[in-house]
Amino acid sequence: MLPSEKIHDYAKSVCAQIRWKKARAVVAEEIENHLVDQRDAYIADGAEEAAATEAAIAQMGDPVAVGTQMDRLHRPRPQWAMLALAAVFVCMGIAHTVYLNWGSGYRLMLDLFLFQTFGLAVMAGAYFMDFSWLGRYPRILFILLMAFFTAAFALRETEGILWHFSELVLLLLPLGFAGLVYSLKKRGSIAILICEAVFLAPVLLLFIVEEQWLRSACVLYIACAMVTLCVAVSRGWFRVKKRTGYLLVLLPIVVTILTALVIMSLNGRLERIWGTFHLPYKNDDSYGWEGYFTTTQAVLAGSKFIGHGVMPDGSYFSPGGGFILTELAYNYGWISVIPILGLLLSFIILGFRRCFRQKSVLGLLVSVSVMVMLTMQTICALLLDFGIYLFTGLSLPFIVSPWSMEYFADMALTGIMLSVFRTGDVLRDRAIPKRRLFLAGS
Amino acid sequence: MTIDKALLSGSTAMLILKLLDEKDMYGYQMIEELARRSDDTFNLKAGTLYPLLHGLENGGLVSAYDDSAGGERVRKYYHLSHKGKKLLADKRSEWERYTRAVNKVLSGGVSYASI
Repeated sequence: MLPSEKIHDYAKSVCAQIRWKKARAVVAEEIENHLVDQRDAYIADGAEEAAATEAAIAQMGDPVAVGTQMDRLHRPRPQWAMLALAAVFVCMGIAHTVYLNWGSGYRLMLDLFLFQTFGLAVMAGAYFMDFSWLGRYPRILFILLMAFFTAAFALRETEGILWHFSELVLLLLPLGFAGLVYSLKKRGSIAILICEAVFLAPVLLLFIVEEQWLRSACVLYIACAMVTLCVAVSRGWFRVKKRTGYLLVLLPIVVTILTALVIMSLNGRLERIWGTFHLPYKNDDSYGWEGYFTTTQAVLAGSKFIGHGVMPDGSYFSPGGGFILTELAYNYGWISVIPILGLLLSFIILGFRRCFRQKSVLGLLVSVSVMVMLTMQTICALLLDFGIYLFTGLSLPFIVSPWSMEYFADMALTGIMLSVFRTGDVLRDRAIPKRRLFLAGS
Repeated sequence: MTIDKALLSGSTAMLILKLLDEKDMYGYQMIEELARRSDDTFNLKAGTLYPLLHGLENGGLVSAYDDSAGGERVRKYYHLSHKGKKLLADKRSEWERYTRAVNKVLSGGVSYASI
């Protein structure tokens, strides 16, 4: 047997003890590298290659003992707590939908069952998927999603079904953006500017499209992309000084936000939003969102800590479809809302803590982009639920709208994020071979 | 002189953290450096070092990154994290307290600090 084969065989024996197959390659590479370094040192001291290899292997020790210790250290992390929280949210969503649609016939219940099952299958599939392909082919997802969205936008008048899926595409886009950022390792300031151009482009959509849900999805994507880019800068991913990096990221964003505020101020939208923060909101127009905010805030003002609330003017409150928390607060008191808020907060805190424990930048970027998406969605949906106008068209992740695109996007994103938390420990950030960047033309 | 293994294993993590406090290193480099600085007293086995390093990495005390070792080879470098620095400071003061106490006993109750 050749000396190099002996080294390879030794590493193989160590890795045979590690039950988690994904961890084997990383351990094998490190051990082989060590043995080669040690062997070369012995050769430099005058030993023959065969003797030097034997001595290096002997210095490492018993492969079974080393492998057994490595096995104890390398295990997937199934994320039971986060899975349990997601399951609780899904169950709450089912209970809420059944409650709202009780008596609507078995057909609706069957649809609900099918959608929920499909949503859970999407999440399970993503959870067990190997997310590291995003690192191997970092720009594919982004390009595919952008191509789909552009086609759907161009054909929106004639191909309504494509346009219907565009919300799903926009909500998944932060994942593609994380891949794009990952592919631009050590590319300097120009990489930051490229990323910025890519994530600020949807701002134009805000002025073109009419659909509120699409505008909200655009804003979510921009926020996710901005945070992802800041995290990459903080990790020195682009090899740019942090101060310069933050300046390059934040300056155009501040300019964009200020421009948006001026436009919103001119068309009266800013005033409407600001008005809803002054509780309780009153608007004489009892139709549309204005009427909803007035009613919701009145209902919340009449809600008790425990027990059924009373409308201040004695009128009757009829709950809407998606505003579960206002409804609970009014019917059963704030005591029924607090545990849900606590669970949502726990999910968010747990998620971000896991994000910042990621060893690889790919794992960090992917998980942060998902967590920002879910957090923003939760905050906007909670504010809307409580009658405060920030963005409409968003619902609480997992809980509300089990048959919307948002629901499927949330399930897929959560599955991928949990896959990162489960297996991210063994992922390494490598220089990406140029052939794998072909789709972006590098 | 060979050092008792029990005595060595308790302090190995501290010694590794100390090496990484000065600069990022890869496994083989740590073994060499440790042997050099201790006049070959600490000849750490690679089979002991790597599980220890992976444990420290899992605990967030060190982080790892790959860097080229020339040609196709890639080496895994370890970097001491903020949490690791804190642990090193704690371990160091614990060690100093321990050695002071041992010395005091060995010298028949006379503290070196008071001499």
